[in-house]
Amino acid sequence: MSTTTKQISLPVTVPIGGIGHTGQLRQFYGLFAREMIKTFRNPWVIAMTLIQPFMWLAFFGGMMSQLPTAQLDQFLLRAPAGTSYLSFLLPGVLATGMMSIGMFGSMSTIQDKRFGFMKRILITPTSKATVYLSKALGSAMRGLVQIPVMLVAALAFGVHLQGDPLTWAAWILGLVFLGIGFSAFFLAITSSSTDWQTRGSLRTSSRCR
Amino acid sequence: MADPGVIANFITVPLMFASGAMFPASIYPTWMRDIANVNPVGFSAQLSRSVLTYGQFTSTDLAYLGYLAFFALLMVLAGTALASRYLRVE
Repeated sequence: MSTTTKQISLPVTVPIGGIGHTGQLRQFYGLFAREMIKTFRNPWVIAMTLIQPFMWLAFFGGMMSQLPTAQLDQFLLRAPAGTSYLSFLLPGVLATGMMSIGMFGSMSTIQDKRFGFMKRILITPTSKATVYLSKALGSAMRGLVQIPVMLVAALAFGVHLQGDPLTWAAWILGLVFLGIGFSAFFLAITSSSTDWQTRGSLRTSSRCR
Repeated sequence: MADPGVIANFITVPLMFASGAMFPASIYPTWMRDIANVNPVGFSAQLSRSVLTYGQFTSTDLAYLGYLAFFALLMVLAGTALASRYLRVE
């Protein structure tokens, strides 16, 4: 009975994330995929994303749509005759929805800190910039969920949608840019924060740790 | 940063109302129109409205799209620089 010790040789280049930019790209992809999975597995995330713009469309739009046509035409200056206030409001609701989506992104970052995920991911060679970018882009992509839902809601409310595929690509691209910009902005200003209880309220507390 | 919720409210509410998203910015008082003239929310709303509501796409809309691309790029670059320095682990 011979006991041969098996020599285990580790490869010199340990492929844990790799070294340099190529590794960061792979880590970015993994973290971005995590954001997507987290979004689409949890229907509540999507529901939270949709409630606010839908409320605006239903209540604010419903309230305004009962104004007399003369007043509406006076307000909606460029509108051709017969343009409803809802069709005027829909693009605005989509844009404001994309702005507020960044707040959900920074909330989920704070959750990651609280549950220790951020600590674990930053022990690996993943850079802070990679974590940040995956969060920001993931948050912007989450905002895109509202577009098809709001369009269907608007159609159900009787809005006629114009445009052709090319111009549709242009306005959707504009919304993507807006979402990326605001997600990046909110994540940056809250990147040093760990507070999640007081989000959205006007409380002037300092961080509770 | 003291309280992100407070900061977020201070930013989203003015940008939402001073944008032309709910009403045309032409009926605003001057100080609100000044905000609307640099507000990316308003530019995005204008761009979408041109296409979806009025069925047109002018050179102004192309400029809006360019402004939005510039806004996104600027925020991502500035944010990456800030986050790689100030991102706290817990």
